[in-house]
Amino acid sequence: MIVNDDDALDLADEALLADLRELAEAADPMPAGLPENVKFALAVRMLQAEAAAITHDAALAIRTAGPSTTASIAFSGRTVELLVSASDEPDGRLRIDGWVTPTQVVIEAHAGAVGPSIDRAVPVARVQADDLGRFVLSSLPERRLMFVVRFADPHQAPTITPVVEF
Amino acid sequence: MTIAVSLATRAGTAFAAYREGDTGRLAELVDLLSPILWRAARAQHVCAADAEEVVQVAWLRLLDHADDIVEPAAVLTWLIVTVKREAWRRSGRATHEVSTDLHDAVMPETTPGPEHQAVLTERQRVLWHHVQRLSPTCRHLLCVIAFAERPDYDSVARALGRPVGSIGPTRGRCLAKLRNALATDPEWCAEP
Repeated sequence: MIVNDDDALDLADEALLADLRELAEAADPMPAGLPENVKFALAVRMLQAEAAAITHDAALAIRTAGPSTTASIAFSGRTVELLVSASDEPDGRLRIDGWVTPTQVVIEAHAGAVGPSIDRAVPVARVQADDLGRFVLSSLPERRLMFVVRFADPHQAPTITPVVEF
Repeated sequence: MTIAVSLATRAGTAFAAYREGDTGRLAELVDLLSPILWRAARAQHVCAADAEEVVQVAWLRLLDHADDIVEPAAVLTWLIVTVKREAWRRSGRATHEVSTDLHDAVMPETTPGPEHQAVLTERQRVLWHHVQRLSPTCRHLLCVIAFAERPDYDSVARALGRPVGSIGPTRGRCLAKLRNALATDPEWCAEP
């Protein structure tokens, strides 16, 4: 059958394009973490924030795409070093023990890929680090988290981390 | 046949809401359009790692230029054009070449690596064999519009740089070539 023009696009063509889509997805898949990475980049830009990168996790496998599953993760930004360690509470909720420099900053944990709406998102937990930089976030209902570090000086840009899964 | 709601319309709705202050809708837009933008970047012959960066850069540009887009539904084609330009900028080619088919003749083919070949079904291998024998123009056009809905085909093809006068016929010709090739291949069965 010959397709002569625009209007001749028919069901067979639609089916063929659907086959092509499946083929492209199998043969040359979009990296699974691409949308999450884009949302992170947009959130950083919109918050005019500093981005912190994962520098170490317990599995020693640094994954740049998508959330990583591990128990202990270190992040490093231009002005912030953050170390978080996760454990389960008896009721199955998540507890995060952390350490941060500079000290006495505020740590927020946000659920999942908050992405570009982070400027108005409500964190699932929020705490101020003590004068040694230690902090605890307890009874977290979420296991996919991103962290925002805020300073007492509101003019200082916050630091945000990628989403990680515990 | 039911006509699917166009990708451009759905994207336009989310983008308009974002511009009116619902910033969270931008995440929805990212989920909706990243697959076709990835495909558009790959169609410009950039490697996978560069394609990911190109897509990310296009999204960041959107933040800076959100108010320049007059009609919200045009956000899809705006992003595709931005992806294409960024891909070309990276490959060091002058932008005026983008509108020609010159690059099709001189750039290497993108073929799936062994790790991806292995996941293809027998049917997909047959289809891939014939897709590879299309002209690069046809192959790239079909691989990108396959990620859009029918009402989007013309605007997406135009954003990819097909000459306006030949958009419909080009797409029709490309599909016809592929269908004719498959029809003469005894290994191809139309229904999976």
